[in-house]
Amino acid sequence: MAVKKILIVDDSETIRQRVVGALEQAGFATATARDGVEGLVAVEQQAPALVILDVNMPRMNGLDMLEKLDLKTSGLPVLLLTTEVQPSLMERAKKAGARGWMVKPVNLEQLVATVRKVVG
Amino acid sequence: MGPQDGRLVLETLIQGSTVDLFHTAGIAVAPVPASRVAASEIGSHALMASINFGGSVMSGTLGLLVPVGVFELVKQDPARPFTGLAWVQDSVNQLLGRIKSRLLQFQITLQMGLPMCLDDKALRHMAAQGILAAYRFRTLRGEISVTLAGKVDYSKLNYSNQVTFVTEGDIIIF
Repeated sequence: MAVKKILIVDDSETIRQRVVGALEQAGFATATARDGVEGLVAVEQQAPALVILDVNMPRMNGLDMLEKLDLKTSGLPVLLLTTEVQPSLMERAKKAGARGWMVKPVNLEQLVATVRKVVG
Repeated sequence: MGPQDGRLVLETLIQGSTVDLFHTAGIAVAPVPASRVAASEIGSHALMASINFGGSVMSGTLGLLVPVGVFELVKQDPARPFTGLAWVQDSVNQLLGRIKSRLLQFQITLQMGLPMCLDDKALRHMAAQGILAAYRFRTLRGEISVTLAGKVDYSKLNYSNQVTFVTEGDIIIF
């Protein structure tokens, strides 16, 4: 069975390193990007099975990237990973087709379990 | 609620958020009694970061100053280490996230900026602009400081009993 690749888009080096470590230990392949602009390129080039996406990032934030991805057509699952808890932002993500919202700091075992559940 | 009560509410909220943040990282911190200190008393550290925020009730800059010894207590995967500066930037971001989340109980919303490193010059600049409050926390490896600069309308810090239905660590599947 092919190894599924997860793309992590976050401007925090700490978060990227921690999430990459947990996912690779769980048998996933990973790719990373530091903002929404790099994230859009990485989705094209890396063909991930799932994207983990921060909200507050330089150049292009996660919600703008999400809306550019046109998830309803592509079907790419996206999980937001953010410090934001504002219902209006969650609603915007849901409307754009995101599959879930995770509030930092998240337990890495639970994150891996959620990724498994979403990518199957 | 009077301005003095509002100050106490914000102080409690910042102290609680800081203790929770470091507890999550496995680091015990305790607020120093009467820990609101003058700007001139804030010592600089090698690891300093700040983040701007805006909103109708509060706007300004939150700073986090941490001794290197505290960062050395943070558990890391040796295969994927991160730097102290990256960690302190992520920490100030998460600290503001926690404060922001708790402020929802008061129907106060904040827009968060992006975390950035703070050097001595930037710290002095922030102090010159007027630090509203600085809080100190004791750890086994020295003192952490949290600074708040900007404007706050303390009279608006009224508890509204608004339920915050998501909080740190929650995972919601749509």
